[in-house]
Amino acid sequence: MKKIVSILALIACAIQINAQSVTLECETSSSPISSGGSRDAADRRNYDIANCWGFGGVTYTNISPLSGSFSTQSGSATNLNPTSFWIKSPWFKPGSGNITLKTKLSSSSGSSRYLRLAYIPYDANASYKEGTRVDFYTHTFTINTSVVNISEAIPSAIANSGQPYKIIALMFGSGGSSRIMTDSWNIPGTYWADPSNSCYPLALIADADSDGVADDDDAYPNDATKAYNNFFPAAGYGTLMFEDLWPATGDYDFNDLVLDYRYNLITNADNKVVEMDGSVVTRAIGASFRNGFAFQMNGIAPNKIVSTTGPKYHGASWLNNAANGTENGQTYANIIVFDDAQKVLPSPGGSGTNVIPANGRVAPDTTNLVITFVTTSGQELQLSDFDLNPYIIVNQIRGKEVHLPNGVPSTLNNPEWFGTFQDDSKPNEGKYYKTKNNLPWALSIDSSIPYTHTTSDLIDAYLRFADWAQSNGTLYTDWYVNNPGYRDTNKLFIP
Amino acid sequence: MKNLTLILLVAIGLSSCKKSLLEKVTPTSTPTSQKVASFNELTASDNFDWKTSKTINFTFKGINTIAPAKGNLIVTSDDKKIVFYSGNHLISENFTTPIQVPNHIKGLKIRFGSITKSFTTQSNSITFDCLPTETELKYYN
Repeated sequence: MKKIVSILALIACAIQINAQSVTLECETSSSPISSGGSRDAADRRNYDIANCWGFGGVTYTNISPLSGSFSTQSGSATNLNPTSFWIKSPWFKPGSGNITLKTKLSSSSGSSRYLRLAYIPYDANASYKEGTRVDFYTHTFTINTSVVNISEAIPSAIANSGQPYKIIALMFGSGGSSRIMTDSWNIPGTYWADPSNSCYPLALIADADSDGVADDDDAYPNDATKAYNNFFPAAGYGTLMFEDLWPATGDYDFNDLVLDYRYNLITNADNKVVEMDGSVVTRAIGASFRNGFAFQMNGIAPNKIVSTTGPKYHGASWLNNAANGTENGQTYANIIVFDDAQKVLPSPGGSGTNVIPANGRVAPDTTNLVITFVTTSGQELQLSDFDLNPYIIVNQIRGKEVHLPNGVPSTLNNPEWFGTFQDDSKPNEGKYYKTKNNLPWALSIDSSIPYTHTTSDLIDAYLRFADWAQSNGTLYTDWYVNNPGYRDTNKLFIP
Repeated sequence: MKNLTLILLVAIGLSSCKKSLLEKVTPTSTPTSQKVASFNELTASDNFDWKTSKTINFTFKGINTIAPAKGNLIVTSDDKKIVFYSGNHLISENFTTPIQVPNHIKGLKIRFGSITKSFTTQSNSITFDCLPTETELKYYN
């Protein structure tokens, strides 16, 4: 395989490349090689375009290539307009020495054929940043199919100038039908184009914390340990709604505990998760149980966590945390967000909190968590490692957890509850917290939505929910959106 | 005359019966499932996950480049208002991550540096590459 790149090196924080030459060999494909037909030719050309080469009316061909399996070919060069067919190099900073390439005509048909070389200076104000072309060499073909090796010095005006330029080859002629083919380009200099930025010349980026992420893209431009926010849900808050009579079914108003949540997995410039900022808003309690709320980070060992701040504890006897804030005795990291919802959102009097419109209302309570993760090389976590599994701890009984449907219980859950009353969990089949009819005890909605009044059945408030559930999620996938006819607001607690 | 009246009445009656019958059996533009009176009467299938979002496996298909360029990769909703993923990636590096997209989001825009492409959320997997789009290729043809 022919070589495209000479020597490459990434230096310091900004993209700086020290390629000694810019080459075009027409051989590299972006996808597996198939039959060697036109698809391969187009694929190779697309690869070179992605690498910032430009082609005007020029394709690739595997018919009589100049070297290797493919070469470039113009259309029939029967027009004396020099810009009929062209090949443009990427931006580069010229070195010194000769530009070399192979060329020939595809046939002996034609009156005249020419290949002209020119350079294009950088012009910040011009279209495509390309200044006025300067011609410096023209080859006149003898009308036959002999291979010609062109070798022409980089013009002294641009050699070692430190400025970005492009080289353009213009192909033109008159009469006949022969095409002009080229191959094996070698231009002395340093590649200076950015394939990720419209192939414009590379520029030093403004990067105050030197983490390699441009300030414009960096959510923490002055903190080298952080770069990106990744919010879940991506927009606004989500809502978690629990029934707490598990393993028996309840009234399905799904307001025994209602929480909003949003968390942000903060990544650094290497896309490793360094911190999780979580916000849990306790909105309503439609039960008398003193439930706790927690989440498990499925698959993440407790020792991946360095510290946890923000949980709200009120002296529950079962609390048993390690110094890093994770619960002791767990296989995976479990964070107890609060141990008693009734203490977090006390009732103003009467039954429950924020579930009966006639009663007084309490402002929702927000628990803000900050969890930091290990940053030791090789131990870091990625976004794809995170699978949060929220649950309630029912009425101060540590072993009695209620998760979302099929949420895997924590190590401290007591499995003896499974299969009792209406619960039809089958751990060996991966079925958890569902009835025989596959009904859940908890729901998670990716938007913040109103919950029901006490004893109002969820399907009476959300009028498309039943269709969604019974259709296996194919009908009314947006049942939670406030579309006309989707809600009966009389059944919803709307402050 | 009496017979004629009777025939007319029967005809009208049949016609209105037919109309109401049709209303009952003709599907509306949005289908519905079996009606139930309470949540407790619902029946869901074994594999229903009760989620209001779907997980899309997103793959960034890297391309070898002459220069090891790094760029900002960002996955947003079609209107670019909601960001589902953002990270810093080498253009040459393959990369896969799950992206959680709410059910009501129908389209995504994915941008790497200055390269932007649009996708629908119908499929469970999306692959983004840095090869030129058809529109861009027109410039070269």
